[in-house]
Amino acid sequence: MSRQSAGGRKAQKGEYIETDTGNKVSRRANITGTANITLGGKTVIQADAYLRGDLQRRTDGADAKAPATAINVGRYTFISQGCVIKPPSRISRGQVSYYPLRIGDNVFIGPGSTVSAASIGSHVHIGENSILQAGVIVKDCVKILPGSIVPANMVVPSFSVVGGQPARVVGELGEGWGVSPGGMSGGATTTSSGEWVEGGELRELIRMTR
Amino acid sequence: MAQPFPYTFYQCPCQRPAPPGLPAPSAGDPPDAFSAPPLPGTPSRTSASASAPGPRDQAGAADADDFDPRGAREQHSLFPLEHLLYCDDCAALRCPRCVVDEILSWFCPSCLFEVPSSQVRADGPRCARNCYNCPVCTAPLSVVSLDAESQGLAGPRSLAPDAAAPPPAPAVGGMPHGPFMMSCGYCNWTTLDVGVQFEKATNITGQLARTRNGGLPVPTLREREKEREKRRELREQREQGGVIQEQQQQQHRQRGTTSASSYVVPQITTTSSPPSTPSTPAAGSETSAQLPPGPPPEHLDPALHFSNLAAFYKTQLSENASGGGSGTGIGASSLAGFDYNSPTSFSRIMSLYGTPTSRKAARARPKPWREAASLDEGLVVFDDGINRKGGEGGADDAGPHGVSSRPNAEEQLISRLSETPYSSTATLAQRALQPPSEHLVPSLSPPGPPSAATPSPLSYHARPQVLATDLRPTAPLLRTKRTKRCRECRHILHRLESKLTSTRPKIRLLALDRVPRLSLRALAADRPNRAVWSPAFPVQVVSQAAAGGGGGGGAGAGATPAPAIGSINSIAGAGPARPGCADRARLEPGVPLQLVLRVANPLFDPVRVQLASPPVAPGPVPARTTILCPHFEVGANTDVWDEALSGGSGRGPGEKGARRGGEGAGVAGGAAEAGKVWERGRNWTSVVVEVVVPRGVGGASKGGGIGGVGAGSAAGRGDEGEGEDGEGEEEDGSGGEDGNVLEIPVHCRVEYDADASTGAGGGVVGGGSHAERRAGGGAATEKRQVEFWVVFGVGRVAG
Repeated sequence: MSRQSAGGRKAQKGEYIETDTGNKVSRRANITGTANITLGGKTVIQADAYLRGDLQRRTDGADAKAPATAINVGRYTFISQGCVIKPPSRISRGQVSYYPLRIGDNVFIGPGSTVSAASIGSHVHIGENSILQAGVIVKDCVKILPGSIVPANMVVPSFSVVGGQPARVVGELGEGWGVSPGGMSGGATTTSSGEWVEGGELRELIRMTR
Repeated sequence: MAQPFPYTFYQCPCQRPAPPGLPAPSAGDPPDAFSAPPLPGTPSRTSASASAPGPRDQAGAADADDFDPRGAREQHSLFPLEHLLYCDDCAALRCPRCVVDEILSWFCPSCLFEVPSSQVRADGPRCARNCYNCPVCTAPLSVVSLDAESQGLAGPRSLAPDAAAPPPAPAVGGMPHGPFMMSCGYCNWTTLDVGVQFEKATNITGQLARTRNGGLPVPTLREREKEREKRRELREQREQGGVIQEQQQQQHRQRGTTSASSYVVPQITTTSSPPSTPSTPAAGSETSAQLPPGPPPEHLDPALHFSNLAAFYKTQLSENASGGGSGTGIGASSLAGFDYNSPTSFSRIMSLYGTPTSRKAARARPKPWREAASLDEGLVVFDDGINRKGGEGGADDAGPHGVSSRPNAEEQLISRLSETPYSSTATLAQRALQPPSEHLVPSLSPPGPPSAATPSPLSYHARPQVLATDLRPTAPLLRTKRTKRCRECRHILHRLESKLTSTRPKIRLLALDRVPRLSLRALAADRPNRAVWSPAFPVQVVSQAAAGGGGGGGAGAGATPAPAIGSINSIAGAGPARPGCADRARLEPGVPLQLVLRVANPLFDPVRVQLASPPVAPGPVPARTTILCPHFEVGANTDVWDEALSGGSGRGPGEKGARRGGEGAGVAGGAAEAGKVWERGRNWTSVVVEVVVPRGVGGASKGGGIGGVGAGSAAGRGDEGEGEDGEGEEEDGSGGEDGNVLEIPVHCRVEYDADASTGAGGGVVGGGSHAERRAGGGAATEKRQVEFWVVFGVGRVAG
């Protein structure tokens, strides 16, 4: 379970609250239903991100025995500014019900994106201002171009490049997707901006975030 | 280019003409010639760029024949480094064009089920499960119960168009009940829009195959046969009664419209041949007399057409096989023996000079085959409108097949289109996305009482799919999982684990691991007197995008990428002014811009690098380019910890002190100096490149790009700036979207001494790299050399 962001005026203490497992959650992130959100560790949630953990599956009749996780985020995942992470909803029998949302490892979600997918694999790069509608399933190693709208219930297979409104598969990723080139492995950052590769390990990016 | 600036493309030399022998490394160092200080806006620029087809004159060292990154061919040989593989045996880069794909498995991109290749061969490359895409917007369709929808929140949806639909059954128990439809979650298209609904939520493919737009069932093969039989019998009955009348009509027609009869099988008007003749004239008179004017049978529904033809030839075969018929057919006439179509007559001819026993067989006179003569037999007459004029006298003058008495098929279509609002026609992109089997739509026979001769379900004919109501849900094309092999030596370069869902590679020989990576970034942008050139994203992204649609997913997907990409651009409204990061990289003309070119070495040996670039960039932006330090070394890609432990330089941003530690350190003040390396790290070195965009360039093509610029948009990369400069550059397009993009080609040569035991790299294989074995020294090392061209996309010229 993630630590809750203490929503006070504590800007002096730094932008991010760091949890025991290394998650960095911005003080200015809007997170509801923290009991239903699981962060895998070393995950960054930037300012103005909305995580709707309160939208969880409603158990009929019997009260909730165990709080089901509504949002499950893996390790080294980067949720940028202004993202909305909202569990997918579906209307079944006249009722709106929410399903859990799972995000894998090393996922980059660009600024201003709205994610309502059912699941997102690992090594996925989501460009800025894109929208993943309810029930989208994104497999591993996928690039979603900026500004695309992935329609509801779409399945994006691995090694696809997806873009457009509505999004469709527009290309294939190269074989070297996510491979950190040897030239920049391991801390060879020299300038104030480190280097990382789309779809690759986001460790550097996470580390630099402070 | 779809990549944000600054991008780096590597050229795969596979499609270039083979270099004449080894590119002999000469000592006449070309880069020295390049490192002349830039003089912004000097008049010499014109002359320099007139000879701008390249660095070739100086770069005799490299195989720098004529490399223009804007050339039409180079569009297909420039790739991001991530897309390139490296064959160790050939010691060459391998791009998607010079690898061989081997299909491991087929799978549906939507349901991710593997499809056996035998089924692909039989059923075609589309998913046969319940996956369907919206024909309007390509979003996936979901099966929805009509009942649940009416119960749901949105209130009763008007389901008016289908009057034949049974009332939705009430939901019983938990399962959704009643008829189902498929609906698009993106554009709200439903199959009800084309009048299709389903009884069950499963086996959508089967149900869809049995239903045609409008809800009418598609007759099965058996039903078709039955119908055909029935009609034949009907016709024969009528024939018995009206032979004489028939003949009169025929003669009349032959007199009137000679052209109409030209495509008809020669009419044999012997009264003694009832079984064969009836098909032609009788059908004609029937249809012409009974069908009210309507869409003419210009094309048969392809499936029906085929079944008609097949049935016709089957009967022909069987009639021949049964001893040449009863002698009542045409076969009895004098035409017999001259029909080379018939297999029996062919065998007779072949045995003309055979043994006399064959004479005996010849006694059973084989009946010649006649050709299909009516719609029922699969004859489709092209209606070009000429015949129509002859037949306009009236229904009696109709051609033998009822073709010529009604308006032309295409005119029908045009008139129909003119009555249809534009919004309810299918766009070209939508039509292109439909599977080819749907491109002809069976059109209903004209309204009216179904005549006895033409029962309604069989009177379908086809027309092109132009209306929105003609669209059908499309099953997604299958994708493939592939192994890549080198085209030269057949070694596997890339192979994933065979499990379908696995993304882990078993074999992966990437160019990323073999070839130095070159990247460009701005020198400190806050410097006065320098152009502001901000990187794409606050945190630098080494972008890995798809090289257009070049990858072409799978076998089946190869057909669609181009239109798809174009339409996406237009759909997304992603014109030149996309709010992406690309536009932020604006270059000011006339202001010298300093960039840092960084070479990172993935190899475990230190490498010597020689860079060279043409003094004036070819293309629409003739910027002067100067690499301040074209010769340098790059350290080996040793273990990170070696450096961390020995060098004492910290990791991360704190190691700034450790840079510039080399012998050619940049000046501490930060001014770039010719001949000096800018920065140096464990396995990378960066040098400064100075670029001056001449004044009067740029701003040429704002909003020039119409429509989507797809992958291979070489023709659209023209420039009006060229006209202003009056320089003779070989650009062909006019006003492309990329007319103000500065691209700098840089030739990179890398030499290093490698352990001879690793890798087999013997000779040169076209890829611009070779190795020379050096005998000297204790350990057998060999000198290897890799050469390639790189294109940097620097940015757009402002203004």
